[in-house]
Amino acid sequence: MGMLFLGLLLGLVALFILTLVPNRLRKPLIAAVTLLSGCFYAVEFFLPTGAVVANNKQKAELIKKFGEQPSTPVAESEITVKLEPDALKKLQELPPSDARLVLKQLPTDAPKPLTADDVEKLTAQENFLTPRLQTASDVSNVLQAFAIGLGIWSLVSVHLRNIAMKRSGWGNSATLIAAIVLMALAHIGKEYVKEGPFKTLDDLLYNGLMKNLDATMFSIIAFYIVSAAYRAFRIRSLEATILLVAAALVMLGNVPIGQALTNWIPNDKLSVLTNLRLENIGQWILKKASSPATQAIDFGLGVGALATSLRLWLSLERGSYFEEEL
Amino acid sequence: MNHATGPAFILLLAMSVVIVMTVVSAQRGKQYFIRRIPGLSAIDEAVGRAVEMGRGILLSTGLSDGIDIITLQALAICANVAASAARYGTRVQMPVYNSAMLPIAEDTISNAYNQAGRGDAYSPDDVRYLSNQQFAYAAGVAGMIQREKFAATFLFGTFFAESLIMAENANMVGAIQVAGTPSTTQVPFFIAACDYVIIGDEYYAATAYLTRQPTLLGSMVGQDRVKIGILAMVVVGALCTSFVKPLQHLFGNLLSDQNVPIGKLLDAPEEGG
Repeated sequence: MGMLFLGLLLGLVALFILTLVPNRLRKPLIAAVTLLSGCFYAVEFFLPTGAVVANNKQKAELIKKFGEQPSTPVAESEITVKLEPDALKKLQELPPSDARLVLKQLPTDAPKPLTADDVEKLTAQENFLTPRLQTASDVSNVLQAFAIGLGIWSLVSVHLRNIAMKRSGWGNSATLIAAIVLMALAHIGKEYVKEGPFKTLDDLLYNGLMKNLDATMFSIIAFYIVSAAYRAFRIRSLEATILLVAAALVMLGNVPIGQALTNWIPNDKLSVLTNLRLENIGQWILKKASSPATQAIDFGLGVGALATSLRLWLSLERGSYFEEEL
Repeated sequence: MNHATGPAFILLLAMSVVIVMTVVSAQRGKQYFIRRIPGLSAIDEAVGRAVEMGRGILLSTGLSDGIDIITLQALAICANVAASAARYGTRVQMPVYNSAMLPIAEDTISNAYNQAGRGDAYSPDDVRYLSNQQFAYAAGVAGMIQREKFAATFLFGTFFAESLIMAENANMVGAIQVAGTPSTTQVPFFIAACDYVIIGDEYYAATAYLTRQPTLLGSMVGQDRVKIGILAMVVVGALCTSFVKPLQHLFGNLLSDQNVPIGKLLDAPEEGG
């Protein structure tokens, strides 16, 4: 609790100091912080990893289990570590260089055979920065927590204004504010009093109402799919016709009635005619036509994301992020 | 945890150098040209229609768990739409899914209004947080669409199953719709429901196309050069692995997805490996 309070206090002090930064220094400050934060993730990603013991705790466990490491390096030809069948299989799946590293790290007179779990631990693909990722993630979570407060404030202030000014539909805004307050009370109350009215209210609001409303919204999609599909499949152009034919073939290939239509064609792998069965045509469209196109799109998107990330990370934009270029 | 393999390190480094060099050369004044993209030209058409009809515009940056590249890119596109709409005095509204994005979205849209010289027209109510629950957000956006009867909707960002709920509701009120998402599974839904869809890397080209800023144009040309380079590598690699024995292993390693440590690219394959 003390640490939580201290963290909150430090966060608030840091925020206060940030508000004092003069305007002309804000952009260089943001650029520096972005560059440093990005460097952390980039270095962690690019630093070589290998078959290393994941962290000190795991290393201690393994040393305790297998005894101290030999002081002199063991020649590869002398490695005689006992392995359980699963561990052997796992080790054989590794790239040879990694497998050799795992074996070099182990004492040759291990009292117990090496298990698959041990191999897993020893081949954790980590470098010295990897364990720090959790800390970086915690910092992000703290910032996110502050942001949730901002979000709730935005929502509440918009709807309080609606109520105060009696704008049309202000009753909906009042219901929303009441729902926020009730849900928060029920959930926080349940954290402290496990049984009783808070738990009942939380169950009613969350499990009884919200989950079902969520499910209802999800099921409505089925109706929207039908109406969107109807519009999409109207034959208006050559492209729409190709789309319609391809979609019909894929759909027919995936349902029993469609498969029954071409059941008379022999299902013999050596026969060319087999390719004309609807299920095979459908699979061909999915695997040979659709899948490569999607992969090509994904590749283009990947390169685009890389370019945008580089621009942001290196602060290559002139002017602030979304402003006109100076 | 994912880490770079040797080939990934070399390729990423090379790609980054090409992109950064092109951006820098564009910043130094080199002129680059990009072709016309129909989906992006439709953005002006949609804003124009909203102005004619005297109804508002909805902007959505989709669902994002944090502040990510996809959402920032979507915001950049929305900023251009907002600036365009503000110039003609049309109201834009943007419901936000992720509260961390809220201050950035508010800042971006109010900047866009200021750029258009209409800072006074910006209302803080226009950019608002709705919910970070997928279907609660979808229901909220659908409700806004039905109440406000938007003339145009712009759906850019990460979308999942809720994409169709939003797009179909906008279709019901007769809104002209422009959508773009890197989520390839949602593109077919947008194609079915929206008037114009920005597909694939056009999503990242949008800001360059709309603003014609040298930095963004340079970045786009850099991306294309990288793609040409990779395509050439694939062709050369295929030819080499098929016909030139000494290069077989190098290209085999570079183009494989195996975890080859840096510095081991030229190693001969090991027996039993």
